[in-house]
Amino acid sequence: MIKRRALSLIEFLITMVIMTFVFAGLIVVFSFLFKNIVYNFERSDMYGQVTYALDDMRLRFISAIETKTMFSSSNNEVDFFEFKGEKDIYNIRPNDATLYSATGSGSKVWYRYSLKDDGNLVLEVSFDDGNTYQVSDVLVDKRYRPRLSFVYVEGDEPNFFEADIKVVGEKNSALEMDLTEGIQTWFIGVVK
Amino acid sequence: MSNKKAINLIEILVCLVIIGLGVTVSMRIMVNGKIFCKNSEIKSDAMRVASLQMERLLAQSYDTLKTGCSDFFGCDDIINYYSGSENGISWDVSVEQKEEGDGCGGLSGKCIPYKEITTTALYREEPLSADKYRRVYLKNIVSYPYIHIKQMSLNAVDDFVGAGGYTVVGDSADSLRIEIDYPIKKNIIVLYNIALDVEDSSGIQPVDTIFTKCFMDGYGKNVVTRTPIITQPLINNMIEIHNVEPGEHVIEVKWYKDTTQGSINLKKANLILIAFEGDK
Repeated sequence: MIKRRALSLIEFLITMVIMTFVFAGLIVVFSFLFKNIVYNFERSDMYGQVTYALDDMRLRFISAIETKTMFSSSNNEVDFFEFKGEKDIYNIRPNDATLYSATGSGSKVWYRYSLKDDGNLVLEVSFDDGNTYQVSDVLVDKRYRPRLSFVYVEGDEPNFFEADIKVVGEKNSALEMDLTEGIQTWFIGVVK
Repeated sequence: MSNKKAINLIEILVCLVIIGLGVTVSMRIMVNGKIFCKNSEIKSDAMRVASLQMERLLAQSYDTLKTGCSDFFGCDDIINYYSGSENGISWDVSVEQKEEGDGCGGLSGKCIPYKEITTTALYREEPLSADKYRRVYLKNIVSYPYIHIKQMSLNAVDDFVGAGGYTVVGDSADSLRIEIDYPIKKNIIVLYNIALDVEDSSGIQPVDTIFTKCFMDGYGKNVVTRTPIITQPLINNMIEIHNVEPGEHVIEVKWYKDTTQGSINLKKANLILIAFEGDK
């Protein structure tokens, strides 16, 4: 004999009410988890881009041999920096000041760190003594609304200054980051 | 005979409890993961702040780097600008003079001084509470320079070369003289140039000369220069003083002429010392 018994109407209704709460809870939980995952990815990406930009500056500024941007007593903060440095930053040749050419002679190029009109924080490179620049690398994407400043603190050595980058989250606008890196140049001073 | 039975309410409730436990654990893991990530970021920021202060001090030379510390480290020389705050993270600095080598403590051998920099940054872990303060510490050194250079120059003074014996080049206020005080043995190269102003050449013979010599602590060091007065009014010399002991010393350049005739004054002079790290 087969003995089957389904849920009674009362049991079914109670189950429905409970399941409604459970699913509502699960939706809340999963939306929270999903939001957190998105926010954490964004936080990680922002941090990665800013530290990449600061590390790039630290490595590239070391070999600077000439600069068009200088700090002075009345101007100790600038929002871009233009200097002549090593094309191959891992092969520093201080005795060769000639510009790199397509024939392979020379080793130096002009660099500029700045915010472009589209909002990207970029590294630009010039092979014609700083007359025309082309974007070499987008360091911080415009969606994080980067702000860039180079600051000389009075009393510091004339070959030392700070690079500061501030960014704001795209999906989580409450997320702000403000990272500062100490920059040192080996061969030149950057203070008038 | 099959005996199939639908799920009853008790089983549903048990399932819900199990699901609830699973969700609670997942939530806990998620929240803790978020706190862990946030704390890693705060710690990384603190590292960056400490690192920035370290780089600022490492950019200074050995001599300009001031020894002392902030209140936090509690040394004798409190320096106000050795503490501060950046992006909500407070930092402190200590610069201590130390020495290293088998010759330290009065033993024979080398004992090289260096300056040890310690930077620390204070940060607060989440969840925020009074006992959640943590510190990161960074240490580095500025080594003692291998080479030191000192130089001085003299313009014309009323210093007529005497004939009775060595006297210091220059007058009592301004002479060709450098005081040194190195904490380790040094080999010192001494270079000097003296331009003469022959104000009165009457009676001076072509063979009459001016002698110049370098003296350290009153003792003459070879080589002596002997320069004809009439034909060569510029004196140059370079000597090496080997293994100069640590401590204070005076290096001077002295001169005299081997004739009582004529009147020779100082036109211009300079003295340059290049001190290398000495032998053991």
